[in-house]
Amino acid sequence: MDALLQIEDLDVRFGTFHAVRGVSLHLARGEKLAIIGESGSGKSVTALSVMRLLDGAARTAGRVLLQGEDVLSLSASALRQMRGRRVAMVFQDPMTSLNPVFPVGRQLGDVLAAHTDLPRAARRARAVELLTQVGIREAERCLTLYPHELSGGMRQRVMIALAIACDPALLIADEPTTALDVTVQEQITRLLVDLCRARGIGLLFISHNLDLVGEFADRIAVMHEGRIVEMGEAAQVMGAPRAEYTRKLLAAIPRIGLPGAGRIPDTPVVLETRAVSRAYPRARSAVARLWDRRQVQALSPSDLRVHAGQVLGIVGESGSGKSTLARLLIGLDQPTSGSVLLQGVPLKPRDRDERRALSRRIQLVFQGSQASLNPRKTIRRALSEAMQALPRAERRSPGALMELVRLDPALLDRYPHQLSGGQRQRVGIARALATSPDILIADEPTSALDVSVQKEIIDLLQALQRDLGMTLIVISHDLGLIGTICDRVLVMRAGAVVETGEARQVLTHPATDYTRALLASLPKGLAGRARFASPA
Amino acid sequence: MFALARSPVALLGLALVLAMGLIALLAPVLPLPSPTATSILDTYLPPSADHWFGTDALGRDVLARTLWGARSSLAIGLGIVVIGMMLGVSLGLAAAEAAGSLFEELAMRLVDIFAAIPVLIWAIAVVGIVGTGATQIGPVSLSNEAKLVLLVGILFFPGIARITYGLALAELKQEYVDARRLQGTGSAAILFGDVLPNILSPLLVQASVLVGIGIIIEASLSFVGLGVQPPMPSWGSMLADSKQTVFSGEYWLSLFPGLAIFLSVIGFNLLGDGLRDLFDPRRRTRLPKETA
Amino acid sequence: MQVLTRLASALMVLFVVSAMIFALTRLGGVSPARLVLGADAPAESIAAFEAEHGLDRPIAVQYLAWLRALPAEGFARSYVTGQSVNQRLAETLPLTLELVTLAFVLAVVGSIALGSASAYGENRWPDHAVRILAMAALSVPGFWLGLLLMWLVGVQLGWLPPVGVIPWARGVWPHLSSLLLPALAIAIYYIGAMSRLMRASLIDVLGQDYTRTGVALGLSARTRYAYTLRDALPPFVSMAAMSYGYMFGWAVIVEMVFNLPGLANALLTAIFQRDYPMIQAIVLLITLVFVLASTAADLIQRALNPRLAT
Repeated sequence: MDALLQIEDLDVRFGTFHAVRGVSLHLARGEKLAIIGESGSGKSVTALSVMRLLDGAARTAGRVLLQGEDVLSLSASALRQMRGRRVAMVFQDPMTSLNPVFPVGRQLGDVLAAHTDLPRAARRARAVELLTQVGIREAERCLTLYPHELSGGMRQRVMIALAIACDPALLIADEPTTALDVTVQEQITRLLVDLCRARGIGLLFISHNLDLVGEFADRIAVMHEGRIVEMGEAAQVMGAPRAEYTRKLLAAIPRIGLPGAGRIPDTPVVLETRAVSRAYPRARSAVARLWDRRQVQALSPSDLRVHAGQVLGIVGESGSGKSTLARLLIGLDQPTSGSVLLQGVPLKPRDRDERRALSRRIQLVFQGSQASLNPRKTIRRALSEAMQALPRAERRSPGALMELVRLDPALLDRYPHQLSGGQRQRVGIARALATSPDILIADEPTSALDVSVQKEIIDLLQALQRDLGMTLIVISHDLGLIGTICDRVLVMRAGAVVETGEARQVLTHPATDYTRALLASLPKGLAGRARFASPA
Repeated sequence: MFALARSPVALLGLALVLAMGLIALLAPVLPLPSPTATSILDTYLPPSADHWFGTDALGRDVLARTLWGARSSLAIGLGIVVIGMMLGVSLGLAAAEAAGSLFEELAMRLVDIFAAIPVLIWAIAVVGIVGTGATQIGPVSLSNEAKLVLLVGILFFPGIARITYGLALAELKQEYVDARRLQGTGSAAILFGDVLPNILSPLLVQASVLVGIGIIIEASLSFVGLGVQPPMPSWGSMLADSKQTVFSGEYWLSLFPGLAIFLSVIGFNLLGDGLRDLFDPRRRTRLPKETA
Repeated sequence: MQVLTRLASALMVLFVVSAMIFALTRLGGVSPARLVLGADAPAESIAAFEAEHGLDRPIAVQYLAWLRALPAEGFARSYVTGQSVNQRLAETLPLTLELVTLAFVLAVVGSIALGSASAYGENRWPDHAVRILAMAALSVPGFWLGLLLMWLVGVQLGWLPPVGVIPWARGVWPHLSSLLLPALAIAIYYIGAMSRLMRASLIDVLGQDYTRTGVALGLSARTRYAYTLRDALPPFVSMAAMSYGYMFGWAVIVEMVFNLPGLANALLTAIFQRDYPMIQAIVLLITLVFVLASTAADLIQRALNPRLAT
């Protein structure tokens, strides 16, 4: 075996937290190995140990052999020569991973200076060449730009150029596409795979997304609670998983299957918008607005209609205007033009009483991050406050609300940070249901959660919608999620609705190029391998 | 408050602050000579069993004067911060809630103007102009100490307002605030019931540090004769008196009041630092970022 | 455009602040005429004095007249001493400027060195030592430290002149050495505050993802220190510029400790003589320095941060 990287019995602890427990794996020259896991699985810690990038608090044991040399016992100067030259790394968030105060050219030049004897002019030429290789068209101009002047995808391309600048034998990519939009995700993955193939670089790809790595990885290792629970050929792990945990992960992936029966609603329209739009002034301060009247159009005039008892999905990438639309639908924000009608009446709460009355008819479920609950209030208090709009007689006990979302009422006296992400999101749903609204809007209800927990939350929302006969509007960037539960779909892009229709129709016979592109860029697991089989 | 036990720094700070507070409260009942009683036979006595801290040019007991000095020092330092916090926190919260409005703009420009005023110079100038005697404003008669508290408190408010504004602006963007709005909760209830408790910790840290600065400002003004007026003892004016003795070697006249200022200020600074460490989540065990 | 708005707002601030101090001198105290002519001067001579100096006009008119004269003639004459305020400022300002500038240099150099040592030795002995030192520096009243230094270094050890200033004519080092102790007394608080900021800022940058990228790319230690310092600089530069303005305030007290014939002397004399035009001029001058310092802080901050620059 021509092992490029060989990890033997790696063990990492942070104080009492045992992050990695006896991990062994190997990676051959030019091979593409993916490590899959949820948060806390130890996958990133494993990747960082290969570069010895863990901070001082980590205690590491075992061996990490790179081309036969133990990384864990290298001297500081040998380590410096290894990093960037023999092994390089691409990180998750290109915005925070690039130095914000230096232009791209300077950052590339400094890496080349650190590992080569190239004179200044040659470094510059090499930088242009590298940027061209990672698919940046105006490479010359890009040299003078600062990271914040680039789009997310461009930034990640620059990060990749930095990583391959000195021809490393191994490239580690830690969730390199997680911070990016779906359509960009596909391009960046493809770039990484093509570059590694063309240059014979070994690729260690860390991800939470099985369908994404299933498309290109030679082998997949699945990590759970610090251990590798399964490792094998991609086809085997994805097609015939042996570990229980792998099966659970695979089952949790939202795949566009046969979406809702496509119930043709003969129920009345409960919520609709008429040419509703929202523009924000460019100038933030009230005084500057006196002369700077430029506006940013967050949402162009849009129409939508939701029938009672229906599940509507609104899908779009970042900047599509979907969250703006959500805030208008719920009355947290008022439209610049057009109107939102709730059962034919304009939705425009003027005072507290109207706001309270409205809170009993329409409610919002948030992303479910830490910030969705006040960190200083117990769950009991959060749920009790949610019922303040109700007359005393109609208020339910917080315990009953907890049972509604399948949570143990014993958790009532805990604080938000004492709950898991999934539990927090269930509390968020309970809070929204406290006033028994007819309409529930869920804004990216799973984007802050692990894959397996996402599935539970989706199942819960679906069950509640059915049992309570609610109208549900789900807003997401994830076409897979929308495709699993919605009756109708609305596709948004750059502040406008590009396509709307019955879910089955839109997802199987999209009418617009954009929807087609969105569908095409969805990771498809083993089914998508064909497109990675040869360079683009 | 129990959390304080986990930070030795905060505990030390708290101990110093409490000790100074106790001294200030108990000064009148402690078995001390009067801080203002002069005695021409006992001038410039070095520290001894009778006079632990020695006596000054008028034969007054330096220990008694130093302990009594804690009263005006702490009262003025705390008073300044209470005024500054009341103004700063309310304006900061209101401006954040009104983000994007003309009120926000005006409020924050007002803050800019007050922030552009150098505190010490203005305090000296204003007291210098209106005089150190009691000033009559309508029916209220303000002693020089009260004037100082008001004046410096007002000059402290922009800093507090800016911090409050920044913190509140970030807090108001949190999802739970939107959830409260959707429940039909009013602005005031959200600001004081949800936002303020969540931003209180950094504000307390700031307040603690500002009390220390307030004490130094009081001492500086008393040093130039514009602060606490004689015969009331104050650390600053004691130091001013001691200036004449630097060459003749009566070190106790400058050592003890100076130490008293130093210990009270460092008490509040340590308390602030300790609180910051306790409140700052980054201080807790850092684990590498992992996302799924 | 942003630079212009910032300058405009600085001008606006000066305008408001000068109006405030003007109003205070006219409304807050006793009529200058009484001060000059004495408490039992006859009403006619008071009126004549007020008319002569334009004090009988409405305060807004007086303010505008004063403002109009400012660019061409500078500040008016003192009612009390009859001396030109311009002249007095020209005599006293240079010494204070020198003193504050020296203190500023001490604070900047000291805090970059201490802050770096502290951040790079985080939680080891250099860090502990610097943190204790910085905490003490923050808490010691500068004028008391001045007294102690004067006694210890000036009187007991006799290394440096304890009081007064040695003129330039006697040599550069004697001159600077006579300002060293007061400069240190002014700088001490800022050495503490700025080294703490430097430390916090460096530690923040060292914990950023992009610092990890630098390590992962195998950049040399020197390149990484240069990167880190550059990244950590904006808040430090901003605080340093602000401090320059604040130091004038402390200089007033410290000049008095060391018997230096600077602005403080002029201000305190003016206060005890109730010399309003003089007080007004000095306060305005120091406020001007202060506003310039904070404007500079803002502009430098923008220039150093490419996200704000364009």
